[in-house]
Amino acid sequence: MLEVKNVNKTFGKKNVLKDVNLKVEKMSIHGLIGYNGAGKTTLLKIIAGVYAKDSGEINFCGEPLWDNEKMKQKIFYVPDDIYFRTATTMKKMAKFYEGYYPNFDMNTFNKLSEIFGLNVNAKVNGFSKGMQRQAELILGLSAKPDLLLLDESFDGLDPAKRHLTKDILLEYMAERNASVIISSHNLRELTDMCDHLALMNGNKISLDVSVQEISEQRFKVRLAFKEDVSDDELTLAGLTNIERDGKIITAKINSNAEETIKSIELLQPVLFEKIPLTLEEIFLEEMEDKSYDLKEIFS
Amino acid sequence: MTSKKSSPDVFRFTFKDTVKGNIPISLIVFIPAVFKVFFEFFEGVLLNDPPVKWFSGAYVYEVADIHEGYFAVMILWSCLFALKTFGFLSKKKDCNVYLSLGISRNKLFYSKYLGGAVGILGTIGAYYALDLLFHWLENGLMTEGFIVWAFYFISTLVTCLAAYTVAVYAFVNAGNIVEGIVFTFFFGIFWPAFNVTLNQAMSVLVYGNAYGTRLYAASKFFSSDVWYLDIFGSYTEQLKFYTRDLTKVNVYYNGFTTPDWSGVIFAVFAIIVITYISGRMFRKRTSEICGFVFRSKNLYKTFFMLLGICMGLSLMAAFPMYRIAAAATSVLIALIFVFVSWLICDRRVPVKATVALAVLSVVFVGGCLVGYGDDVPEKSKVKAVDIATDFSYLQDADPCQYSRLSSFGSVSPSYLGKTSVNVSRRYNRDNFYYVTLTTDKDIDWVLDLHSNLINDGYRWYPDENTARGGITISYLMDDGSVIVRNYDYMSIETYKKLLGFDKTEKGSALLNYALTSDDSIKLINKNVGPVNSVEGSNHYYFGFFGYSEYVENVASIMMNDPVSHYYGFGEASTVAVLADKDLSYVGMIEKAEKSLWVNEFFNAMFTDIKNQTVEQKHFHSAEDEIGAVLVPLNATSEIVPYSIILEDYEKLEKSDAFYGNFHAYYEKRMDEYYQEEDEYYDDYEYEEYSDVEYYPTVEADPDYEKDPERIVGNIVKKGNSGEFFYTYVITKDMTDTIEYLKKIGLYDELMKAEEQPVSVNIDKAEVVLEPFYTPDDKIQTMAINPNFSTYDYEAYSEYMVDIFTSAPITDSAVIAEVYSKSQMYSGKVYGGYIAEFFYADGKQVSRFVPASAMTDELLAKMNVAD
Repeated sequence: MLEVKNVNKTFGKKNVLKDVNLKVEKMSIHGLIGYNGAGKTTLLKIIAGVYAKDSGEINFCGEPLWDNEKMKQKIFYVPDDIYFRTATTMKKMAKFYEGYYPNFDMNTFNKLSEIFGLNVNAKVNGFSKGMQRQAELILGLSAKPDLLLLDESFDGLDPAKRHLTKDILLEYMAERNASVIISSHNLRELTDMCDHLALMNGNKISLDVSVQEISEQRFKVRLAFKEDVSDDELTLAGLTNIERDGKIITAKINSNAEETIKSIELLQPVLFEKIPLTLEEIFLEEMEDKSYDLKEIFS
Repeated sequence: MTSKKSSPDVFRFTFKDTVKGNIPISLIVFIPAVFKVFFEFFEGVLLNDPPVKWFSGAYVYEVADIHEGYFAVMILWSCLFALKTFGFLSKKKDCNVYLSLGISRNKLFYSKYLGGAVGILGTIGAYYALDLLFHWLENGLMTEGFIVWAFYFISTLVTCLAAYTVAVYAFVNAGNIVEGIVFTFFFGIFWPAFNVTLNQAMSVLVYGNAYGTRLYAASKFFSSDVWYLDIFGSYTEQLKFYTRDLTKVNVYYNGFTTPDWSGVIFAVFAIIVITYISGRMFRKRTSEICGFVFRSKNLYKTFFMLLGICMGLSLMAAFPMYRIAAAATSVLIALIFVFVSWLICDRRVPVKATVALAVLSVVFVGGCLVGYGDDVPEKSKVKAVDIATDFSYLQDADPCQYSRLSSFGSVSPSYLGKTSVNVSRRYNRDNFYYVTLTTDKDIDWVLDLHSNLINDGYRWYPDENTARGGITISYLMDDGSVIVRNYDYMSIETYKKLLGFDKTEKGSALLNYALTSDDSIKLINKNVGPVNSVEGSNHYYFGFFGYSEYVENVASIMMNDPVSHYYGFGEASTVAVLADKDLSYVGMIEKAEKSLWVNEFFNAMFTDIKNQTVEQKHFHSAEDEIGAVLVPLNATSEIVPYSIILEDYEKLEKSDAFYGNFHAYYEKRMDEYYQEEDEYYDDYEYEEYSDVEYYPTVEADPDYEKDPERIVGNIVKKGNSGEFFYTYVITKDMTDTIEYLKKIGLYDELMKAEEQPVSVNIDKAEVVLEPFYTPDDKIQTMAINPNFSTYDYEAYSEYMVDIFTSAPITDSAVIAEVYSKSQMYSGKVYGGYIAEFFYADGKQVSRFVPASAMTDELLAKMNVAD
């Protein structure tokens, strides 16, 4: 559906995106995660048409996306910075977006507004930040885009609304065969929602995998042995990040999972369980190249 | 994933959305504009104001509006449209949404641009449509008027659209509001400099000629006069008097415009080009808040470099007399900008930019392409010469002591086939003089003058030997090329030579035409009547001759004619016109250029006036008169010391002549009006003189009384000030004056045989009538002057229409007798008659006959019953 190929973007001297590749299939929710300033928003804005890429290709539904009005009408970008026109209401904003998005559905708009408990005739200026965020999401979903770009859209939502939003997004995706790209640095929010993850590290995407795939590939093990087994033995077997809680040992598999598992089995564990990594753990694992000795800072 | 609906018409939607969003800005201008149109209409129609000529009103308010900064406001207002329409580019949040909307950038740009433009069009169009409607209702429809309307409408619209387009360009290229404003400012200061560049430097480089090129037409749009309508070369019928062939004298106060569409066409072209470029830039805009100017080093350097050059050029344009200083300043400023760019641009010297800057500075400024030519063309190659002078720069520092002259507008001679007059500064047109010289003698005179100017050399600042006044000499060469030279300073000697223009063939022809042609004579005599005999001052006391709408028309003729303008005539300064007692032109009396009023002639005349008796001054006969002097003046000119005026009144009050006349007036009055209407007496202040008679008092202005030696002459007049004549009757007893006239050789001219009138009629004059009018005069005044006060007319009609009694008499004996008893108009009439003498050539001269001089027998001959 969406294919980003070797996209580069520079601001002044700063290379914000370098050879970025991303593929988003139909009916998927793509999580775009990364440090602050990693380039998530830039990538989303390039896809949305706000920024022009310096080089590379972006195709949507097989067509180049840049300034492609027909394709742009199938994509809705919900930016991090909330925008509403001056002294406007949700209803007026709906009318505004209706002018640009052929699938904009006022029924959906009214229903969603009702579900979220927002008064469509009230001035948006009077809404709280969370309410404004909900209003943006409602407007975006009402446009019924094939691709919804959400930039930190869960910020400011209370837990209940966050949960509701997730449910609505999943339902929307299923009903409309649509895709969603959500950028966030709050990994917990994406954990039970995304089917794909793209990790932005530095100025490139270091990881772009399905959640299912990554669950199979990246996991921890929980072990227990009759006899004591030293950390050295475990490390030698291919484990890392070894933590002990009494007899129970938790560790990550350092490299080749199959060989490591075989080596551990040779040590005859009485308990041997695979535990999937959380997104946060994967994120940290991917980003762990920068480690600091905090003690040194204050010594 | 199927689309439920067909694709929306996003262009239309954005366009409508933009128009709607701009309505509040439209109302900023539309509401006051509509109010104004309504006000003018109801003022004219409901208040029974005399009708104005069709669309003359449009001209009036356009000009007035311009004076009030109307166009500057309109341009700012247009920029507001740009800010409102494309302001989203300056806000990150807005940008995120607008640029991601389901619309291509091209469509987004053009739909929004058109939305803003239509807002401007709608606002101005609705305003002008209403204006058209009301003018039509009021005055009917005329093709010529419609063209005027269309011209003003389109030129206003185009000016606003141009400002809007430039501002859009600025916002499209700028990254934030500050940049947008800076960028717009850049264009603002660029225009006048660009004018200089295109107008002169570039046209010389490209065509070998200054002016007369398409670039000249282009430059008109970019000139600093962009604020004024005259950027489009409009001028009025009134100013046709300036045209080379002098085919028509038309003193309509507010004539029609003769549009010159070249500026408009160029402006439209520029708008299209700038819009296209803006559209391209918009499409290529790489990010939402791009800070385009300040992030692109090349643009940044170019920007500053151009800014520096333009500032320098602007300086030069603004202060042409400091060309070298301006050149140096412009280079300095440009280098400062380069230095700033170096500081910001990574401490790297913008070598190429600096070199380009230096070259451009040398070419445009240091090379002095715009300025001071040192060559006088060979006479054999000169076909004709145009001279335009502009003495708008006369100022306090001038040793010619033009300190009392207003500093007024400028003149741009046009070689596009039309005379270009700064109509926007219509009120300031006094400085204008423009004429084409073609004869050998006249060309010699110009070449000589030109040599003098060159010999004068650069004059940076007026010293005691320097006069300041613009002069443009444009040679039309045999090969069709045009050489143009401008000078802003000249020596006193050169200035004197310039003043000798009336000695040239063309000058004398123009002078003669201006003062003696049928049109002029007719207008002067019909509308003015005889000159007044009092040493004119404040009209309240002495029946100031000039406080007349008619006189304004004469003043217009005098001051608009090339010769009088040449002399700065309208500035009340350098010349007086000598006329015989039938108001035929006799000659010009030049005053010493270093003084205004203290000169030989006026000293002589004031001495004579001061020594005159009441009889000599106010109750003389026709035989006592030898002529009159007409002196144009403006509001700041010195006239007669008030002490003389007071003294005169004192003498008048106590004189038997005055009393006798006043008494005769009461005895001879023919109507019962004054007897029945007590309030009439209330209108004028009388005090009881005896049990049965009234006597007018002399009421002095308290301000004047405080300072009897104060110079009187501050005339307060409706509308624009400064277009007056003072007239002084020269009587035989004025020995000093006569002696001076003999000395300058004009006395004999004055004493030449006069024409004989062919008919006469009389009107009864009021007791204290200021510049006297017949009802017919008044009606004519109103016809040509829409500003004429309704109140004045009503007040006048009430007292005068009913007492207009005499039919024309053609008996030569009666005419001669009436004439012999008549005198030139004497300020306040003090009771008597107005005799209107008509000549065979249609000339009309009105004279005053004191009541004491009009016998019953003569009244009977005039068929006026008592």
